[in-house]
Amino acid sequence: MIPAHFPWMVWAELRKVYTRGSGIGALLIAAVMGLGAVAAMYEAGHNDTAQINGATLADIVAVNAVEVGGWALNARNFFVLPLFLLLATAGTVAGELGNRTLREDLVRPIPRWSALASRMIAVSSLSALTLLITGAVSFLPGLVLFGMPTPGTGAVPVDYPTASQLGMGYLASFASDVGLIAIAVMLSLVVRSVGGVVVTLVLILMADLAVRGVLNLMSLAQIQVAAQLLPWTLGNALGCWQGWSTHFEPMRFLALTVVIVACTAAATARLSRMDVP
Amino acid sequence: MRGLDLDVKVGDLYGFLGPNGAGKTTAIRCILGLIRRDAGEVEILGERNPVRQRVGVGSMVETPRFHEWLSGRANLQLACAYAGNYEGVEEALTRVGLIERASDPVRGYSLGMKQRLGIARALIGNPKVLILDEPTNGLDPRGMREIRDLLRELVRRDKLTVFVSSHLLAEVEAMCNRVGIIDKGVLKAEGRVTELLAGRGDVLEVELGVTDKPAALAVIAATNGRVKLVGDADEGRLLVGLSGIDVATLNKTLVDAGVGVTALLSRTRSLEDLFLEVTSVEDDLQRKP
Repeated sequence: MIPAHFPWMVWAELRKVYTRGSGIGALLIAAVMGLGAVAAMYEAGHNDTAQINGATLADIVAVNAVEVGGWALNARNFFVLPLFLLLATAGTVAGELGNRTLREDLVRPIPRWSALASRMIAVSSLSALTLLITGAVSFLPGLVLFGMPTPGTGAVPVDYPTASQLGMGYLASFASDVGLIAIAVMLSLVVRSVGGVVVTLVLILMADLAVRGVLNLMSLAQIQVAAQLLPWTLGNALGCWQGWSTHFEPMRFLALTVVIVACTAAATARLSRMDVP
Repeated sequence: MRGLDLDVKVGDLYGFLGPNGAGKTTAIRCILGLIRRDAGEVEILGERNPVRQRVGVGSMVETPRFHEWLSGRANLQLACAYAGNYEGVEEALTRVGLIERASDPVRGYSLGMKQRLGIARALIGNPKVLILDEPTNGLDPRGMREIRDLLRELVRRDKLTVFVSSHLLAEVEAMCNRVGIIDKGVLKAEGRVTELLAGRGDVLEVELGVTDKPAALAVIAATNGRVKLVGDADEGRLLVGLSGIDVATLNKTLVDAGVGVTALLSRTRSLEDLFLEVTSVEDDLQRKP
């Protein structure tokens, strides 16, 4: 049963998330990533000195608004911003469990799962807002400075990604962030400290990297089952957004859905049964 | 906890006492659903559903914790969102004397101010029952008195039921109308303060000063157990327990038997006497490493 005042609970969590250092930091980094991509593309597009295989950087780089949006997305999804999202999630669950402010919410007339749901919604909104900021501050200036991709731009003829593909990339990134948030929430209820959550997730992802390495080697050795298992590894599921400019792998999204559902269910079950300090 | 059966009546200002480690906070966390019970039930205002029964309950468990970077007012507004009631923030802040510092971040509050803010947060949501764990912790004597007066006012004026755990016996004695004393998770005594302090059951302890002790003891022996010698009191007086006989009748009986009565004092026990009587000091010491 959803409490009638659930929207107010979400509002309370939003207020906390957007006033914490991790939330403010995530918004700033999102803006920096977007503007940085514009600056980098502007520099690359005007660079006639650096050469690769005899061609200048300005000739090689496709300079347009979609590309700059893609650069910003790649930069945004590389390590720093996911780390801030991880900190924001761990702060709102493990942090509050550790400093006992979660207790103050749970003595109110609400089912425990709703306290978790309101927190997940709030942190997910932070992810969405950072994507919006990164996209807006890269794509809109890119549109003004570089324009939309047109056939024949650049020395190498390629099929340029379209704006809709870029949009799908941002949407896929949001799905990936929700997966990260679900994992962080589940770990928060087990590890119960912000630092512990970060360290544990890094260790899990390192183990996942090793597993992927082994599976890749097995794939090269024509072992069919390895190729079938690869999309189901955690790193590949969270990296579902990576195919935005070419093609998405549906299996990665399926794996991500399984991760989100399993982690959310495990976290809800754990919180409903645990003694709250 | 074993067989803990608390009976808090509507309109009570109930003091929940016990030595360190007796289980007071555990019991409160159990009542509030923060820890799971192996067995037993909690009923608050006739409601047994663990979520619905918290609708009319405001609480403060141990040292209250806050989002330190937010103001006192913002913390109460967050509590409002979870309580499903969006009014009463300013009134609660006024009642605990924090209205002038309400816009300051909580990180700058003293322990006493945080304690007051915790009580203010417990008042959010128009509760009918307040459950407070050591509410005067960290307060100076003036602050303790203000909180005591506030709790009394909440019971008298706002018709709230207040359940307060404390180790400050004089505080509870001055404030509460009913008490429960817990030790090692077991309820050792419960009832109205006046009745508990008057003596156990129908027995009233009296200090008796007489001119002729042997004659007085003979009179006592002839009362068929209605007057029992408990021990010696100060200044050579006897300590006797009366059961089924009042002080005036004892006086008349002694005088009629030719025993001069020099003192006849009803002995009023303090809550501390009762507390020490029903809780085991030895066991408490053994519990400590």
